[in-house]
Amino acid sequence: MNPVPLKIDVVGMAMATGELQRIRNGLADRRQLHAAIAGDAVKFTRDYVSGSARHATAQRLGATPTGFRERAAKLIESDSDADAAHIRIPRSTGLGRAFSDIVITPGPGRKYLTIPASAETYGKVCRDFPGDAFDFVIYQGIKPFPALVWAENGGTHKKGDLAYWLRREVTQKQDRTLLPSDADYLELGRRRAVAFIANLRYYSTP
Amino acid sequence: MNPPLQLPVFDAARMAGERRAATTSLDTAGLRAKGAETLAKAVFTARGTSAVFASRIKTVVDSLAAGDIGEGQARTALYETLDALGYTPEGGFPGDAGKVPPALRGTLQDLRSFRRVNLIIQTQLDLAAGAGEQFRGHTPDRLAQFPAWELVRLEARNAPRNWDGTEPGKGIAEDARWTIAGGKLYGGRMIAFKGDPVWGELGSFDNFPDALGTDHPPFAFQSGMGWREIELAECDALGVAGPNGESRSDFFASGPVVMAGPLPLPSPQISMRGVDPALRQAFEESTHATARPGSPVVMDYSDLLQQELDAGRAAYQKANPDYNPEGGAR
Repeated sequence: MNPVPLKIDVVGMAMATGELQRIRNGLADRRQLHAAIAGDAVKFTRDYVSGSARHATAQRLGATPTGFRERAAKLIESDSDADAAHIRIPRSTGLGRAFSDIVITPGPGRKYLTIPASAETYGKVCRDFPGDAFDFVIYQGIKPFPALVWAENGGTHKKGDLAYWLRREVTQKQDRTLLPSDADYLELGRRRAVAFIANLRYYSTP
Repeated sequence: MNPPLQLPVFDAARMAGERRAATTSLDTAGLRAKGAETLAKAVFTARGTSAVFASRIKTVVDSLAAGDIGEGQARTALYETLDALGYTPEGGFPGDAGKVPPALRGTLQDLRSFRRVNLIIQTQLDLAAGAGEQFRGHTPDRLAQFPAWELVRLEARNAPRNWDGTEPGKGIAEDARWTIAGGKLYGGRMIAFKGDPVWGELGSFDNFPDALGTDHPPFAFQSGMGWREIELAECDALGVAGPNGESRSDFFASGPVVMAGPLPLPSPQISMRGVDPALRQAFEESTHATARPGSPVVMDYSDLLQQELDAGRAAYQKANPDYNPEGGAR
């Protein structure tokens, strides 16, 4: 049997040419799409980090939050190229703990980590105080606990009050909720891609 | 063969690295008189007369901006440097007698106090982060996607300054910094194009005594203010305009200049004003260039530029077989 001849007419192409051309141009080079996703992602990540109400330690010690998370959020950066959008998070923010446990040890020439144990020392290192502010003590429990206590009365503390716990090493457990989830980022990228393509209909460089 | 150039990963660290350390016996008011451009390219602290201390501040800020150390470690490093140099609040650095007035221990004038060291660290880190944000935001692709900045509060303050006239008990909108700097509110929001002079005015010593002399956040000491990028569609929806009411395309086509230099055009463009229509049509057909909405004489021509770059790269690679387009020379 002979095939049925079929003729297809594509109509409306003349009108659509401009829009199609813009969409073709916009998707041929992904740099702008990735720049848009990078810009959205850094805003989203900063808002997430600075908006998380994680002041448990400050509340427990009766201290004022130091604003560490807001400052950490400011240091988050983004970048993009033709291949991808990137979020860059400095190690010093501690947000790497979203992906694995972090083991903290004293820096070169140091013996102990100082863990704030009072409202007055929260957010400060012991060098923020005068050199004679603390006495070194060892509490005897099931095992000995080295610590720094206040050497004199002052502020809201009394002589002998606990100021810092001293530790040779601290392990902070992984906490994926420190940063947005993978699903959050996927959804953000998908939404931006849809909006980007929609905008290509109106903007030659959206 | 030269080793490949190692640039810092973080924009803030890159910007911090481009500044140099400098000493001064001046106080903050005296520093302002040195001029914004000098200050913007240097790491200073008022009454910091020691070259070693100034150099140490720069090293510490570079490491902070790169995320290698935290704020506590940074403060400790500066305390130890001051102690090693023999600094005292009463006499300053050894040999400083008479150069710098004595400071009361523990006050902001005492370089060894927590308040002062913390101020140095946070101000320098904020400056590096702000410069890094500006650097990234002024790349052509980001300019095209996010043509404007919004000034927003990033950190809470007990006594916030009057930025937009809405801070409780802080006067009226006419006294707001945004108004004084010549900014316009869009739905109550402080938004202006990237490269708008309002950003330089916000950080100008001439306008505000606590300004830092920069055209990027934090604009003023301990301001707690920062930027958010505003995307193109939102800019158009809000009707954001240039300082003289210009449209977006006209503003960027005018070649705005910031302290770091001229802004790049958001995308490859060419003006076809006055060009013969037939020639213009031929250009459109051969390059797939498209007219900017609202400015039909300005044409985007990304494809043509890409073709030229590819052709140039291929020609260079043919003449220089060792050339590796991904990473310089092989």
